[in-house]
Amino acid sequence: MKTFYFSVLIFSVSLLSCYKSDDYEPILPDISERALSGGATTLYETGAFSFNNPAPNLSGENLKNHLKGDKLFEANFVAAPARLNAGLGVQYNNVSCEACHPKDGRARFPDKINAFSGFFLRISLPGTDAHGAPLPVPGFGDQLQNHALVGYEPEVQFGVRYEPIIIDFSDGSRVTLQKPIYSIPQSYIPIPPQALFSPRIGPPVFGLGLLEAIPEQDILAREDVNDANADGISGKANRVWDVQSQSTKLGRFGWKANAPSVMAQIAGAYHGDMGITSPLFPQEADFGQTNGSATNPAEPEIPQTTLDLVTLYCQTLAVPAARNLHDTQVRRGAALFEEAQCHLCHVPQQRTGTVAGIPEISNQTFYPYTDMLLHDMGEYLADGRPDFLADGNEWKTRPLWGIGLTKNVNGHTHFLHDGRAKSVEEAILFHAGEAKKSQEFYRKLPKKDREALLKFVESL
Amino acid sequence: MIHFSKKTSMWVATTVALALGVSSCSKDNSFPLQSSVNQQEKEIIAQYVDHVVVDTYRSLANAALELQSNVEELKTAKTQENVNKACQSWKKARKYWEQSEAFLFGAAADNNIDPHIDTWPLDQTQLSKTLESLSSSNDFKAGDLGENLLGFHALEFVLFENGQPKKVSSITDKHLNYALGVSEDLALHTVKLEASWAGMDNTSPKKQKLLTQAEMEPSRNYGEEMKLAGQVGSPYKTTADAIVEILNGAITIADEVGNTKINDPVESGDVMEVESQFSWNSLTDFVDNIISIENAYLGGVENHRSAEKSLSAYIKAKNPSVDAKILAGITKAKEEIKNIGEPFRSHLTKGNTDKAIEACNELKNALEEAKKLIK
Repeated sequence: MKTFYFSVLIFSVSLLSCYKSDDYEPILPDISERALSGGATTLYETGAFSFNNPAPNLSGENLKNHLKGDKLFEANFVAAPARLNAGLGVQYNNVSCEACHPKDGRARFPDKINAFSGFFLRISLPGTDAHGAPLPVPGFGDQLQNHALVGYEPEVQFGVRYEPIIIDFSDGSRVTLQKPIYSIPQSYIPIPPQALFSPRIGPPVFGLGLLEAIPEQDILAREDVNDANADGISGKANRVWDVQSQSTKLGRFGWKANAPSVMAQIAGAYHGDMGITSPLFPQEADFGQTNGSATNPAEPEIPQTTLDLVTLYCQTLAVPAARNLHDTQVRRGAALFEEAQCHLCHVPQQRTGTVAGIPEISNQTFYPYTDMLLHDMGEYLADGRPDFLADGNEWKTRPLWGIGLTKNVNGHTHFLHDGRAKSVEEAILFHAGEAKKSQEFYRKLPKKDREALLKFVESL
Repeated sequence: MIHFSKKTSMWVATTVALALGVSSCSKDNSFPLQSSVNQQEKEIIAQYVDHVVVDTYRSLANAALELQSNVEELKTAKTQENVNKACQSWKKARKYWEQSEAFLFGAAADNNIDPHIDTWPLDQTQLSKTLESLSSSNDFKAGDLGENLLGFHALEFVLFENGQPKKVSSITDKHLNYALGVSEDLALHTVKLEASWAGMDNTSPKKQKLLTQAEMEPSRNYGEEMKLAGQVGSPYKTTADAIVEILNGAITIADEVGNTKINDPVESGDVMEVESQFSWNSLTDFVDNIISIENAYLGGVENHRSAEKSLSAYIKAKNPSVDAKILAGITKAKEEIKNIGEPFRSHLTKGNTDKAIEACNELKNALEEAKKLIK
């Protein structure tokens, strides 16, 4: 018997020599199927050009229109009158889609808070309008612009200072997080003292068609608003006003899931970030302001075809494949990810239904690591600004796909809704509220296991 | 997550391992197994960093500083000769910038330098208003302006008209005040590009001082990181990843020249979509973009090449016909672009441009084939 065990031991070590553990040897999950992060839209790229490719299964008219959308996504807007790309501002944050989503990826937190960047603040008054939306602030709307055309005063200048948050690990090591505290040191008219603010930064835009095509019932099936299963995690769907259908719909996009569709998100960004009117938002965002547009354009500054093409572009970008999924440390990290219960919100697998006109993203099994629901993320991330059903502590679970390629694509590792986390580890440590137990689990792990969990996340 | 005792887990693990086969440790589903450092690739990468990227950016920064100096001179002595001189230095800086477009990854993208110095269209409505608001004597700091009011095309607007240097009489003091601010900003950003790839220590004291005073010191050394491919401290997990990045950079610009820079204005018929339209430098820009690919592929800018440390030699050893296709593709793309006819803005028809677009796409496809040989 002894001989048998010894031979098994030798054989096993020779086979599994890449994993060594001091205390126990868990069964490592087989996660190899998750390499196909975007199902058939998955692309095997790891460098600077990992986010801005058409889905490899795209062809025919959809590929042709995707490429047209690509050019529109990069188009730089200028002040009217102009023959090409006219209509910028008067108030604006930046001049193109690409400027806030560089290489279709994640904007960095700006070195100088008022420089042109993918950062801005939302603003509202307490209460809601007839559709449940945050109340716009007279003279400012629901988004603050820190740039204006020459000859006009920008609505505001942003300010920021930082409060340290010290996080201790069980092994005695320590990390100091920097929580940004925003201010408005300058505004063209006074801002009401009761105004609420919320920071935003441009996230990656690939894979949006897949997320949009997750059947509503699949998302709602995970809702547990009152935490009936007592796992400490609720999960709430946002219900938001859809300007396109003029009805209330499930919120899917935006940091607080306040946009019901890719198109609504895009039209909102043209309008709020660049001051570009469209069929969905025909009135200038700064119309009537003393520092804004005196008139509205007779025709929208971009036509419906532009919205259609840019929407298709974002719906059909390739999703970069997850990497190193056979690596033992990565698999160990995947096991810890579940043990920490990260997967209850960052749900690995989703499926799409059938999407009319886009068979390439239809009926796909894919791995975004999101439940598309709102969760209380605790005081380190709270903005105190409700957005439809999302309260001041709640944020939508972000997809994790592609996160490990952020540095290669965008040259930084700034994460969360305003880029306050400067690494994946900081992003984990900023989690509290419903994620507090997961964050505590992580803090109590030995360094080797923390590294494994990080390596798993960075493999995505 | 359930933990098993060592003994049990060893048994289960052994069974699983037997079932899976022996090679599961480092195999991935679709990324092929690669050792992290290949010596030949490492040498190609070092050559690329030092004699393609750094040499090009150094030439660019020097030319941009010369342009700034010539604009200063023009401001001091407003003569036609000085206008012509500033135009010549604009074309020189422009050449090196266009010859850098096969490596727009890294510092140019991460620091937003590409859009900051080369955005089209120029916002002429705001530019006119900016000029109105300028004093004719005071120095003007351009750095806070939007990117559609800065860079090469803002300077081009001031210095050129209908493909020729502007008449000195039509250039106002306000124009020159504006141009000087823009040229300072352009030079500063090109110096940052050089320092970001060469390292601060490998740039001249003058350039170091400029960056320090502007608080624009690079936070990374992209050249060093790329040379370290396959090792700790590099974003490239393998030297093959870095080679693929080099090829992706070349593929991207081959695609852009054919399918955007040439095709877009032809498709729309709108001359406003033509870049470098005040200087009529468009075709030179496109040819320089192809030269950017040529330099990347042949292992250096002209007179600094190394045949044995070139991508060309590496690809040729793997598949001579792919190498031949790329070399022929580079030559053909340059020729067909020149054949469009000057100025580009007057030749915006399919008949004039089809062959050039096709040549760019052929080059792109050949580079894609080379990429498959690496991956």
